[in-house]
Amino acid sequence: MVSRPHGGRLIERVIPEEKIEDILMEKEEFYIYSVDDVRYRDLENLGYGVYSPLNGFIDSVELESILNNMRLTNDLPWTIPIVLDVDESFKSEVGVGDTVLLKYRDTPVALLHVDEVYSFDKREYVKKVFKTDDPNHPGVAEVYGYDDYLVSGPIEYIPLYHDGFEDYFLRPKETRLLFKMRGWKSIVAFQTRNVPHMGHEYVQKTALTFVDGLFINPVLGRKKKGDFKDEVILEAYKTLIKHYYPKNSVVLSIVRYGMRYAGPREAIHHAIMRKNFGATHFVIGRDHAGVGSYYGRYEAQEIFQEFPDLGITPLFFREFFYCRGCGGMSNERICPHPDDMRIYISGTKIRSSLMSGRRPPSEMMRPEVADRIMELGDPFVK
Amino acid sequence: MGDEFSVKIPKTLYYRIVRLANELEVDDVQSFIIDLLREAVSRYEEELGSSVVLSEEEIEKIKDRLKSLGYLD
Repeated sequence: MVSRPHGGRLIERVIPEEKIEDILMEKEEFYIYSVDDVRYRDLENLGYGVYSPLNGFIDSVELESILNNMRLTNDLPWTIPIVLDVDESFKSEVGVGDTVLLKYRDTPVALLHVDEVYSFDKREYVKKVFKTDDPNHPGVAEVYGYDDYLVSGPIEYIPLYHDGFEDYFLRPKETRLLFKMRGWKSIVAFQTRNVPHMGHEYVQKTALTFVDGLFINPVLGRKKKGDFKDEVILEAYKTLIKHYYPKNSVVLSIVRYGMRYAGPREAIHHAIMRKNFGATHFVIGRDHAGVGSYYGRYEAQEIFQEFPDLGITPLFFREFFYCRGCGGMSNERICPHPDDMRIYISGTKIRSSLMSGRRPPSEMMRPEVADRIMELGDPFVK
Repeated sequence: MGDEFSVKIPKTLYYRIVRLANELEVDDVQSFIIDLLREAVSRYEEELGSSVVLSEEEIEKIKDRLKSLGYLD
C-alpha cells in the first residue's frame, strides 16, 4: 500500500482549465500581488497536494503551533511554516474575505482568499525554525528580508506558468496511481539536488534492496553559482538509471521547491512531502537540508525520534566511501579498514574533473554519467 | 425530533465526552454529542470538497499521461 496522504486526504487546489479563462477576464477586479520564486513553488505544492493537508498559507494560530510544537493545531506533525509575506500597502488595501490574484513573473498563478493579515516576530521565527538568528544563514537571511506581515487563507492554483520541466513532474495523484499500477507496496523516496555519484547509487540500491520501488525525486529550485544546472541533474540520472538500474524498479520525477536549509526541521518536512507522493520510506543522510556548520552531522536523523506518528519510515544512512580493502563502496559502520584505504567521494574533486573535461575517478562517478554531463557543455550555473 | 438511530460508542470515549461536557458546563450530554457530530461532519464535508477522489475518466487521463511520458508500457 502506498502511504496515506498526510492528514488522511490528498488536498488538491487547482482551478480547472475551463474556469481559468473566466478568472483572467475578471482579473481587473482582483487586487494583484507578485510572489517570488520560493512562494510560487509553495503555491504549486499547495495546489497539487504536495503539502497536504494544507490548503493555503497558514494563519497566526497555526504559525505559533508550528513554531512551538512542530505540529499543526490538530496535532499533526508539521515543521516548516508555509507563509506568504506582504507589505504595508497590501495590509492597508486588502481585507479579510477579499480575493487576491497572485502573479509570478507576470503570469497569474493563484487566487488567494484572505483569512488574516498579521504581524510576526521574525527573530522568534528564525530561532525556532533554523535554531539560529545568524543573518549569514541563508534561510535566516531570507526571513529577515520578508515584508512585515503575513497573509493567510486557502489558495486556488492556476497552472499557467511553464518552466520547460513539465514532463518531468508527476503530481502526487499521478505518482500514487503509478506506484499502485506497478504493484509497489513499499516505496523509498530519495531527495537530491545533485548529479549522482557512487555514494548516491550505493544508498539508493541498498534502500531498494528492502522495498519494491525507488522514487528518485530531484528538487528543482533556486540555484547558486556553481550548482549543477537542473537539466544536467536530470540527464545524469536518466543515464545512470538506463545503465545501472532495473527498469521497472525506479521512478524519476522532480519536485519544484525552495530549500530553506532548516536542517532537522526541514528533513521532517521533506519526509511529509514524499509521504504525499505515496512513498512509505524516505532516505535521510548526513546533514540533510543543512548548510555550513549550523546543524550536527546526524541531527536531521535524530529529530525523527520525536515523530513516531509521522506515517513514513525514515531510512538513516551514513557517509559512503570507496574502500580498497573492502573492494567496493562501504561506510564507517561496516568497514574495518584504516582511513588510508578509503577514497572519500569529493564533490569538489568531481566538479574540478568535469570542468577540465576529465572523467572523475570511477570510484566516485560512473563513466557513462560523467560522459553525459560533459556532453552537455558547461554543466554549472553561472 | 424526527426519526432517530442508536449508535454504540466505546465507554471510554463516552466518559471523555461527559468529562468535556462537564468542563464546558453543558447539562445535556445527548445534545452535546449531536452538536459534536454535526460539527465534525461539516468539517469533513468541507475538506472533502477539495480532497482528491479520482473518477474513472481521470484515472484514464492519468494513465495516458504516464504512458506518453514513458512511465507505463
